[in-house]
Amino acid sequence: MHPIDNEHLPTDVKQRIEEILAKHKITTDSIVNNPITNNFIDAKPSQSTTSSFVGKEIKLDPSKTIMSKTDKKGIIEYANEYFMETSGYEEYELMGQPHNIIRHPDMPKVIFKELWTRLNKGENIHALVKNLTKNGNYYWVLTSFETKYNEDGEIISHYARRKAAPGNAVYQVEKLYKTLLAIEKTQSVAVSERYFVGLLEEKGMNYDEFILDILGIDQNSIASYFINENDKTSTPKRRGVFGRLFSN
Amino acid sequence: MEDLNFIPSDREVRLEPNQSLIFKFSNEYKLEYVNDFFTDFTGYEIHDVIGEGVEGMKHSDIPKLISSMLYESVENKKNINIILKNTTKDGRFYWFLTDFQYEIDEENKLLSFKYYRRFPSKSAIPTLEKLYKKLLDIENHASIEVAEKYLYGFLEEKNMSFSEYTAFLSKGEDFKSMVQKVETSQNLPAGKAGKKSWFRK
Repeated sequence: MHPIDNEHLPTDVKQRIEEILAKHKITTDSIVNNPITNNFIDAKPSQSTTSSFVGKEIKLDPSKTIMSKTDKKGIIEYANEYFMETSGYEEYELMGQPHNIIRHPDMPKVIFKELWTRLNKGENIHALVKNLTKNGNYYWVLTSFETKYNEDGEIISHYARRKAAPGNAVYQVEKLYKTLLAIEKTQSVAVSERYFVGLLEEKGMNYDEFILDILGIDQNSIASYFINENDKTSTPKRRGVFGRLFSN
Repeated sequence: MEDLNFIPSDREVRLEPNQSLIFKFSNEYKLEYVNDFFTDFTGYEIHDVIGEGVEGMKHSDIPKLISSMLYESVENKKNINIILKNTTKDGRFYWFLTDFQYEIDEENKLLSFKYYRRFPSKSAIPTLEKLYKKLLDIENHASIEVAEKYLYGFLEEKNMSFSEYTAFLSKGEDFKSMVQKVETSQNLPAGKAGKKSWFRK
Protein backbone atom coordinates (compact mmCIF):
# COMPACT_ATOMS: atom_id res chain seq x y z
CA MET A 1 0.00 0.00 0.00
CA HIS A 2 1.21 3.45 -0.81
CA PRO A 3 2.00 5.23 2.49
CA ILE A 4 0.24 8.43 1.67
CA ASP A 5 -2.82 6.68 0.33
CA ASN A 6 -3.72 5.59 3.85
CA GLU A 7 -7.30 6.74 4.24
CA HIS A 8 -6.87 7.26 7.98
CA LEU A 9 -4.18 9.87 7.61
CA PRO A 10 -5.29 13.51 7.83
CA THR A 11 -4.42 15.73 4.86
CA ASP A 12 -1.86 17.80 6.75
CA VAL A 13 0.00 14.65 7.81
CA LYS A 14 0.04 13.35 4.22
CA GLN A 15 1.39 16.66 3.07
CA ARG A 16 4.11 16.55 5.72
CA ILE A 17 5.10 13.01 4.71
CA GLU A 18 5.39 14.11 1.08
CA GLU A 19 7.61 17.01 2.13
CA ILE A 20 9.90 14.77 4.19
CA LEU A 21 10.14 12.17 1.44
CA ALA A 22 10.96 14.85 -1.11
CA LYS A 23 13.54 16.45 1.17
CA HIS A 24 15.39 13.17 1.66
CA LYS A 25 14.84 12.10 -1.96
CA ILE A 26 13.13 8.90 -0.89
CA THR A 27 10.80 7.23 -3.35
CA THR A 28 7.62 5.98 -1.80
CA ASP A 29 8.11 2.51 -3.30
CA SER A 30 11.36 2.03 -1.41
CA ILE A 31 9.71 2.27 1.97
CA VAL A 32 6.69 0.10 1.36
CA ASN A 33 8.60 -3.12 1.86
CA ASN A 34 10.47 -1.84 4.90
CA PRO A 35 9.25 -3.63 8.07
CA ILE A 36 9.59 -0.50 10.22
CA THR A 37 7.68 1.82 7.95
CA ASN A 38 5.12 -0.87 7.26
CA ASN A 39 4.09 -0.68 10.91
CA PHE A 40 3.42 2.95 10.44
CA ILE A 41 1.64 2.56 7.16
CA ASP A 42 -0.73 -0.08 8.50
CA ALA A 43 -1.41 1.87 11.66
CA LYS A 44 -5.07 2.41 12.34
CA PRO A 45 -6.16 5.41 14.36
CA SER A 46 -6.71 4.71 18.05
CA GLN A 47 -10.27 4.32 19.29
CA SER A 48 -10.39 7.87 20.52
CA THR A 49 -10.80 10.08 17.50
CA THR A 50 -9.82 13.31 19.23
CA SER A 51 -6.68 12.06 20.96
CA SER A 52 -3.67 12.49 18.76
CA PHE A 53 -1.37 11.51 21.62
CA VAL A 54 -1.13 8.06 23.08
CA GLY A 55 0.69 7.82 26.36
CA LYS A 56 0.41 5.93 29.59
CA GLU A 57 -1.39 7.37 32.57
CA ILE A 58 0.77 8.09 35.59
CA LYS A 59 -1.03 7.51 38.86
CA LEU A 60 -0.32 10.22 41.39
CA ASP A 61 0.25 9.74 45.10
CA PRO A 62 -2.86 11.30 46.69
CA SER A 63 -0.85 12.42 49.74
CA LYS A 64 1.51 14.53 47.65
CA THR A 65 1.10 17.98 46.15
CA ILE A 66 2.47 19.09 42.81
CA MET A 67 3.39 22.71 43.37
CA SER A 68 4.71 25.37 41.07
CA LYS A 69 5.11 29.10 41.10
CA THR A 70 4.92 31.26 38.01
CA ASP A 71 5.14 34.95 37.29
CA LYS A 72 1.96 36.75 36.24
CA LYS A 73 2.36 35.52 32.65
CA GLY A 74 2.78 31.87 33.54
CA ILE A 75 6.57 31.62 33.27
CA ILE A 76 7.76 28.93 35.70
CA GLU A 77 9.96 30.25 38.50
CA TYR A 78 9.86 27.31 40.85
CA ALA A 79 8.49 23.78 40.95
CA ASN A 80 8.68 21.34 43.83
CA GLU A 81 10.24 17.89 43.79
CA TYR A 82 7.00 16.05 43.13
CA PHE A 83 6.37 18.29 40.11
CA MET A 84 9.76 17.35 38.69
CA GLU A 85 9.32 13.68 39.50
CA THR A 86 5.90 13.53 37.83
CA SER A 87 6.66 15.62 34.77
CA GLY A 88 9.96 13.89 34.09
CA TYR A 89 11.82 17.12 33.45
CA GLU A 90 14.95 18.48 35.10
CA GLU A 91 14.82 21.87 36.78
CA TYR A 92 16.97 23.53 34.13
CA GLU A 93 14.54 22.42 31.41
CA LEU A 94 11.50 24.01 33.06
CA MET A 95 12.64 27.10 34.92
CA GLY A 96 12.08 30.24 32.86
CA GLN A 97 9.80 28.33 30.47
CA PRO A 98 6.06 28.94 29.94
CA HIS A 99 3.84 26.62 31.94
CA ASN A 100 2.07 25.31 28.87
CA ILE A 101 5.15 23.17 28.18
CA ILE A 102 3.28 20.47 30.16
CA ARG A 103 -0.06 21.13 28.50
CA HIS A 104 -1.60 17.99 27.02
CA PRO A 105 -2.97 18.26 23.45
CA ASP A 106 -6.19 16.59 24.66
CA MET A 107 -6.99 19.63 26.78
CA PRO A 108 -9.52 22.05 25.27
CA LYS A 109 -8.27 25.64 25.13
CA VAL A 110 -11.47 26.99 26.61
CA ILE A 111 -10.52 25.54 30.02
CA PHE A 112 -7.26 27.51 30.05
CA LYS A 113 -9.08 30.57 28.81
CA GLU A 114 -11.37 30.43 31.83
CA LEU A 115 -8.42 29.57 34.08
CA TRP A 116 -6.39 32.60 33.01
CA THR A 117 -9.40 34.91 33.14
CA ARG A 118 -9.75 33.91 36.79
CA LEU A 119 -6.02 34.06 37.59
CA ASN A 120 -5.68 37.52 36.07
CA LYS A 121 -8.39 38.65 38.48
CA GLY A 122 -6.58 36.93 41.35
CA GLU A 123 -9.33 34.37 41.73
CA ASN A 124 -8.86 30.70 42.49
CA ILE A 125 -10.10 27.99 40.13
CA HIS A 126 -10.40 24.28 40.64
CA ALA A 127 -9.95 22.68 37.26
CA LEU A 128 -9.46 19.09 36.21
CA VAL A 129 -6.43 19.12 33.94
CA LYS A 130 -4.64 16.47 31.93
CA ASN A 131 -0.93 17.21 31.91
CA LEU A 132 1.77 15.93 29.60
CA THR A 133 5.04 14.47 30.86
CA LYS A 134 8.34 14.86 29.04
CA ASN A 135 8.12 11.41 27.46
CA GLY A 136 4.50 11.73 26.33
CA ASN A 137 2.71 10.15 29.28
CA TYR A 138 -0.02 11.97 31.16
CA TYR A 139 -1.50 12.54 34.59
CA TRP A 140 -4.75 14.07 35.77
CA VAL A 141 -4.78 16.75 38.45
CA LEU A 142 -7.20 18.94 40.34
CA THR A 143 -5.86 22.49 40.63
CA SER A 144 -5.91 25.18 43.28
CA PHE A 145 -4.34 28.63 42.91
CA GLU A 146 -3.17 31.45 45.07
CA THR A 147 -2.13 34.87 43.81
CA LYS A 148 0.54 37.09 45.31
CA TYR A 149 0.54 40.87 44.88
CA ASN A 150 3.17 43.55 45.32
CA GLU A 151 2.69 46.73 47.40
CA ASP A 152 0.96 48.45 44.47
CA GLY A 153 -1.64 45.70 44.28
CA GLU A 154 -0.23 44.27 41.04
CA ILE A 155 -0.09 40.53 40.53
CA ILE A 156 3.48 39.26 40.79
CA SER A 157 3.07 35.51 41.06
CA HIS A 158 0.71 32.58 41.01
CA TYR A 159 1.15 29.56 43.22
CA ALA A 160 -0.44 26.47 41.76
CA ARG A 161 -1.08 23.38 43.84
CA ARG A 162 -2.32 20.19 42.28
CA LYS A 163 -3.59 16.98 43.74
CA ALA A 164 -4.40 13.65 42.13
CA ALA A 165 -7.75 14.00 40.38
CA PRO A 166 -10.35 11.43 41.52
CA GLY A 167 -10.86 8.77 38.86
CA ASN A 168 -14.64 9.12 38.58
CA ALA A 169 -14.33 12.89 38.12
CA VAL A 170 -11.79 12.34 35.35
CA TYR A 171 -14.09 9.88 33.66
CA GLN A 172 -16.90 12.45 33.57
CA VAL A 173 -14.82 15.39 32.49
CA GLU A 174 -12.95 13.44 29.82
CA LYS A 175 -16.10 13.11 27.73
CA LEU A 176 -16.83 16.82 28.01
CA TYR A 177 -13.24 17.73 27.08
CA LYS A 178 -13.39 15.53 23.99
CA THR A 179 -16.50 17.34 22.86
CA LEU A 180 -15.02 20.77 23.57
CA LEU A 181 -11.78 19.88 21.78
CA ALA A 182 -13.65 18.56 18.75
CA ILE A 183 -15.64 21.81 18.58
CA GLU A 184 -12.42 23.82 18.85
CA LYS A 185 -10.84 21.84 16.03
CA THR A 186 -13.80 22.06 13.70
CA GLN A 187 -15.09 25.48 14.78
CA SER A 188 -13.34 27.74 17.28
CA VAL A 189 -12.67 28.32 20.98
CA ALA A 190 -15.48 30.88 21.05
CA VAL A 191 -17.93 28.22 19.85
CA SER A 192 -16.73 25.66 22.39
CA GLU A 193 -17.08 28.29 25.10
CA ARG A 194 -20.71 28.92 24.06
CA TYR A 195 -21.33 25.18 24.13
CA PHE A 196 -19.87 24.95 27.65
CA VAL A 197 -21.99 27.91 28.79
CA GLY A 198 -25.07 26.24 27.28
CA LEU A 199 -24.28 23.03 29.13
CA LEU A 200 -23.90 24.86 32.44
CA GLU A 201 -27.16 26.73 31.79
CA GLU A 202 -28.96 23.47 31.19
CA LYS A 203 -27.57 22.09 34.45
CA GLY A 204 -28.44 25.33 36.25
CA MET A 205 -24.91 25.57 37.63
CA ASN A 206 -21.96 27.90 37.39
CA TYR A 207 -18.49 26.50 36.66
CA ASP A 208 -17.55 26.08 40.33
CA GLU A 209 -20.76 24.26 41.17
CA PHE A 210 -20.26 22.06 38.12
CA ILE A 211 -16.76 21.03 39.26
CA LEU A 212 -17.92 20.35 42.82
CA ASP A 213 -20.77 18.31 41.39
CA ILE A 214 -18.38 16.24 39.29
CA LEU A 215 -16.11 15.74 42.29
CA GLY A 216 -19.12 14.92 44.46
CA ILE A 217 -17.94 17.15 47.31
CA ASP A 218 -18.88 20.51 48.83
CA GLN A 219 -16.99 23.81 49.04
CA ASN A 220 -15.47 23.07 52.48
CA SER A 221 -14.21 19.64 51.49
CA ILE A 222 -12.40 21.00 48.46
CA ALA A 223 -10.51 23.48 50.64
CA SER A 224 -9.39 20.72 52.99
CA TYR A 225 -8.44 18.62 49.96
CA PHE A 226 -5.50 20.94 49.47
CA ILE A 227 -4.43 21.03 53.10
CA ASN A 228 -2.75 17.88 54.16
CA GLU A 229 -1.24 17.17 57.54
CA ASN A 230 1.70 15.37 56.02
CA ASP A 231 2.35 18.10 53.56
CA LYS A 232 3.44 21.39 55.05
CA THR A 233 3.93 22.92 51.63
CA SER A 234 0.20 23.09 50.98
CA THR A 235 -0.31 25.61 53.75
CA PRO A 236 0.33 29.11 52.45
CA LYS A 237 2.74 31.14 54.55
CA ARG A 238 2.75 34.88 54.51
CA ARG A 239 5.92 35.84 56.30
CA GLY A 240 8.18 38.30 54.52
CA VAL A 241 10.55 35.82 53.02
CA PHE A 242 12.24 38.07 50.53
CA GLY A 243 13.81 40.28 53.15
CA ARG A 244 15.04 37.19 54.92
CA LEU A 245 16.31 35.33 51.92
CA PHE A 246 19.80 36.69 52.11
CA SER A 247 20.09 36.96 55.85
CA ASN A 248 19.23 35.27 59.09
CA MET B 1 56.91 28.54 41.70
CA GLU B 2 55.59 27.26 38.42
CA ASP B 3 51.90 27.26 37.83
CA LEU B 4 50.99 23.61 37.33
CA ASN B 5 48.22 22.80 34.96
CA PHE B 6 45.45 23.24 37.47
CA ILE B 7 42.76 20.57 37.35
CA PRO B 8 40.41 20.34 40.35
CA SER B 9 40.44 16.78 41.64
CA ASP B 10 37.60 14.86 43.22
CA ARG B 11 39.62 14.29 46.37
CA GLU B 12 38.32 15.83 49.52
CA VAL B 13 40.09 17.25 52.56
CA ARG B 14 37.98 17.59 55.65
CA LEU B 15 37.76 20.30 58.23
CA GLU B 16 37.45 18.87 61.73
CA PRO B 17 35.01 20.21 64.34
CA ASN B 18 37.73 22.09 66.23
CA GLN B 19 39.27 23.65 63.13
CA SER B 20 38.44 26.95 61.45
CA LEU B 21 39.97 29.07 58.76
CA ILE B 22 39.95 32.72 59.82
CA PHE B 23 40.14 35.64 57.40
CA LYS B 24 40.10 39.26 58.42
CA PHE B 25 39.15 41.80 55.79
CA SER B 26 39.41 45.58 55.74
CA ASN B 27 36.38 47.79 55.07
CA GLU B 28 37.55 47.79 51.44
CA TYR B 29 37.34 44.00 51.32
CA LYS B 30 41.11 43.51 51.24
CA LEU B 31 42.45 40.52 53.12
CA GLU B 32 44.51 41.69 56.11
CA TYR B 33 44.99 38.54 58.10
CA VAL B 34 44.66 34.76 57.81
CA ASN B 35 45.41 32.22 60.52
CA ASP B 36 48.28 29.75 60.25
CA PHE B 37 45.88 26.88 59.96
CA PHE B 38 44.80 28.28 56.60
CA THR B 39 48.31 27.64 55.32
CA ASP B 40 48.46 24.15 56.83
CA PHE B 41 45.10 23.21 55.46
CA THR B 42 44.99 24.72 51.97
CA GLY B 43 48.65 24.74 51.02
CA TYR B 44 48.53 28.44 50.11
CA GLU B 45 51.16 30.70 51.61
CA ILE B 46 50.02 33.71 53.57
CA HIS B 47 51.68 36.02 51.05
CA ASP B 48 49.67 34.32 48.27
CA VAL B 49 46.49 35.81 49.61
CA ILE B 50 47.23 38.83 51.84
CA GLY B 51 46.13 42.04 50.17
CA GLU B 52 44.06 40.00 47.75
CA GLY B 53 40.74 38.26 48.06
CA VAL B 54 39.75 34.63 48.29
CA GLU B 55 38.28 34.61 44.77
CA GLY B 56 40.88 32.32 43.27
CA MET B 57 39.94 29.47 45.58
CA LYS B 58 36.37 29.24 44.33
CA HIS B 59 35.13 25.83 43.31
CA SER B 60 33.38 25.48 39.96
CA ASP B 61 30.58 23.39 41.53
CA ILE B 62 29.32 26.41 43.46
CA PRO B 63 26.69 28.38 41.52
CA LYS B 64 27.42 32.06 40.88
CA LEU B 65 24.13 32.86 42.58
CA ILE B 66 25.36 31.41 45.86
CA SER B 67 28.63 33.35 45.71
CA SER B 68 26.72 36.54 44.98
CA MET B 69 24.44 35.87 47.96
CA LEU B 70 27.54 35.79 50.10
CA TYR B 71 28.81 39.12 48.73
CA GLU B 72 25.41 40.67 49.16
CA SER B 73 25.33 39.65 52.82
CA VAL B 74 28.78 41.13 53.38
CA GLU B 75 27.73 44.37 51.71
CA ASN B 76 24.74 44.53 54.00
CA LYS B 77 26.91 43.65 57.01
CA LYS B 78 24.77 40.62 57.69
CA ASN B 79 25.91 37.24 58.84
CA ILE B 80 25.21 34.28 56.59
CA ASN B 81 25.72 30.64 57.55
CA ILE B 82 25.79 28.55 54.42
CA ILE B 83 27.86 25.57 53.36
CA LEU B 84 30.25 26.05 50.46
CA LYS B 85 32.96 24.18 48.63
CA ASN B 86 36.40 25.58 47.94
CA THR B 87 39.68 24.40 46.48
CA THR B 88 43.06 23.93 48.08
CA LYS B 89 46.24 24.91 46.27
CA ASP B 90 46.78 21.39 44.94
CA GLY B 91 43.25 21.19 43.55
CA ARG B 92 41.51 19.17 46.23
CA PHE B 93 38.26 20.46 47.66
CA TYR B 94 36.77 21.02 51.09
CA TRP B 95 33.32 21.88 52.42
CA PHE B 96 32.91 24.55 55.07
CA LEU B 97 30.27 26.54 56.90
CA THR B 98 30.50 30.31 56.51
CA ASP B 99 30.25 32.64 59.48
CA PHE B 100 30.81 36.41 59.48
CA GLN B 101 31.40 38.95 62.20
CA TYR B 102 31.48 42.67 61.52
CA GLU B 103 33.15 45.45 63.38
CA ILE B 104 31.14 48.62 63.02
CA ASP B 105 31.73 52.14 64.34
CA GLU B 106 29.17 54.36 66.10
CA GLU B 107 27.89 55.62 62.75
CA ASN B 108 27.26 52.05 61.58
CA LYS B 109 30.22 52.22 59.19
CA LEU B 110 32.13 49.03 58.54
CA LEU B 111 35.62 48.99 60.06
CA SER B 112 36.53 45.40 59.27
CA PHE B 113 35.02 41.97 59.22
CA LYS B 114 36.03 38.43 59.93
CA TYR B 115 35.11 35.51 57.78
CA TYR B 116 35.27 32.15 59.52
CA ARG B 117 35.14 28.90 57.64
CA ARG B 118 33.97 26.25 60.05
CA PHE B 119 33.33 22.56 60.26
CA PRO B 120 30.20 21.77 58.21
CA SER B 121 27.65 19.17 59.18
CA LYS B 122 28.17 16.14 56.96
CA SER B 123 24.46 15.33 56.94
CA ALA B 124 23.66 18.57 55.08
CA ILE B 125 26.12 18.13 52.23
CA PRO B 126 24.40 15.54 49.98
CA THR B 127 21.19 17.62 49.86
CA LEU B 128 23.07 20.85 49.24
CA GLU B 129 25.18 19.21 46.56
CA LYS B 130 22.00 18.31 44.66
CA LEU B 131 20.57 21.80 45.09
CA TYR B 132 23.79 23.45 43.90
CA LYS B 133 23.86 21.16 40.86
CA LYS B 134 20.30 22.18 39.98
CA LEU B 135 21.09 25.87 40.39
CA LEU B 136 24.25 25.54 38.32
CA ASP B 137 22.34 23.77 35.54
CA ILE B 138 19.68 26.48 35.56
CA GLU B 139 22.40 29.16 35.44
CA ASN B 140 24.01 27.45 32.46
CA HIS B 141 20.82 26.72 30.52
CA ALA B 142 18.86 29.84 31.43
CA SER B 143 20.41 32.57 33.57
CA ILE B 144 21.39 33.57 37.10
CA GLU B 145 18.09 35.46 37.33
CA VAL B 146 16.11 32.29 36.64
CA ALA B 147 18.25 30.39 39.18
CA GLU B 148 17.62 33.13 41.72
CA LYS B 149 13.86 32.89 41.20
CA TYR B 150 14.09 29.13 41.60
CA LEU B 151 16.01 29.42 44.87
CA TYR B 152 13.62 32.08 46.08
CA GLY B 153 10.61 29.82 45.38
CA PHE B 154 12.43 26.88 46.94
CA LEU B 155 13.12 28.76 50.18
CA GLU B 156 9.73 30.45 50.15
CA GLU B 157 8.09 27.04 50.04
CA LYS B 158 10.07 26.07 53.14
CA ASN B 159 9.62 29.50 54.66
CA MET B 160 13.29 29.68 55.56
CA SER B 161 16.25 31.86 54.74
CA PHE B 162 19.17 30.02 53.19
CA SER B 163 21.01 30.13 56.53
CA GLU B 164 17.98 28.63 58.24
CA TYR B 165 17.70 25.95 55.59
CA THR B 166 21.38 25.09 56.06
CA ALA B 167 20.83 24.85 59.82
CA PHE B 168 17.74 22.74 59.22
CA LEU B 169 19.76 20.31 57.10
CA SER B 170 22.66 20.32 59.54
CA LYS B 171 20.70 19.44 62.66
CA GLY B 172 24.04 19.41 64.45
CA GLU B 173 24.36 20.69 67.98
CA ASP B 174 27.67 22.32 67.09
CA PHE B 175 26.01 24.35 64.38
CA LYS B 176 23.14 25.39 66.61
CA SER B 177 25.29 26.57 69.48
CA MET B 178 27.61 28.34 67.06
CA VAL B 179 24.77 30.20 65.34
CA GLN B 180 23.19 31.09 68.66
CA LYS B 181 26.49 32.48 69.85
CA VAL B 182 26.76 34.65 66.79
CA GLU B 183 23.18 35.82 67.09
CA THR B 184 23.76 36.84 70.69
CA SER B 185 26.83 38.80 69.78
CA GLN B 186 24.95 40.54 66.97
CA ASN B 187 22.42 41.82 69.47
CA LEU B 188 25.11 43.77 71.30
CA PRO B 189 25.42 47.50 70.64
CA ALA B 190 27.26 48.43 67.44
CA GLY B 191 31.01 48.51 67.75
CA LYS B 192 31.18 46.02 70.59
CA ALA B 193 29.94 42.93 68.83
CA GLY B 194 33.07 42.31 66.82
CA LYS B 195 35.44 42.88 69.68
CA LYS B 196 33.59 40.79 72.17
CA SER B 197 33.45 37.79 69.89
CA TRP B 198 37.07 38.33 68.89
CA PHE B 199 38.17 37.74 72.48
CA ARG B 200 35.94 34.78 72.81
CA LYS B 201 37.78 32.86 70.10
